[in-house]
Amino acid sequence: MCQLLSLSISYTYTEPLKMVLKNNLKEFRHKKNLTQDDLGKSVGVSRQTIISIERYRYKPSLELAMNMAKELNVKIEKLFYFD
Amino acid sequence: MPLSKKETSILIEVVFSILFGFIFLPLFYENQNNNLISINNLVRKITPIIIFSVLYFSIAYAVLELIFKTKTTVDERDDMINSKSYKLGYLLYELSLFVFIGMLLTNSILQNTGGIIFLIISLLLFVSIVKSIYQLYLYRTS
Repeated sequence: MCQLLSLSISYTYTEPLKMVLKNNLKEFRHKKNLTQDDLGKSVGVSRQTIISIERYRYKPSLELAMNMAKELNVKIEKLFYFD
Repeated sequence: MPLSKKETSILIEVVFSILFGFIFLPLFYENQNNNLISINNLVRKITPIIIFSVLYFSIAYAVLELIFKTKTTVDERDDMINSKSYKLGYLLYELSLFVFIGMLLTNSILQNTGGIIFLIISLLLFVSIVKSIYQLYLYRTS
């Protein structure tokens, strides 16, 4: 009984890690010598959307992310990552 | 960063709402004590509003097309921003209905046709301005 009482279960609440979705879009875009406008036109979005994605202000949909990865000829997990 | 074509068009809408408020809202304010609205009176108020609106938007969007010669692409980011701003507009509209009913019940001056019209136009103008400003804010920050 004393052993049971001596057992203390401690639970420490830890906040879940806040993971931010980031990307290497600018790097891969430069490797392919594409402007933001060129990339936007090829994947069907505006230049402002590409700018927002590169600045981590806008999270693209899965379809857009896949299209960008296909256009830049890179795997999606290399293009987008959690930090 | 300079304003894009979409941001400029939203700014045109905001400016129109503000100008409408300053120029035409006093006309409705003058008649808020009137209980009966005559057709002639309404036509005399609505005709300049229509003329002003048509002229303003024609000139503004013509100048916009001259300055920004590129065509705009409507993409998923635009849809997301439109959804968020219209959601806010709808919430404000619902809130303004409660404000409208409350003011009608408590304020005797507003319990006539002229006052009701003035209140409706004022609330709708407020909702429109806030929604457009929020849309512009989302375009600049997202």
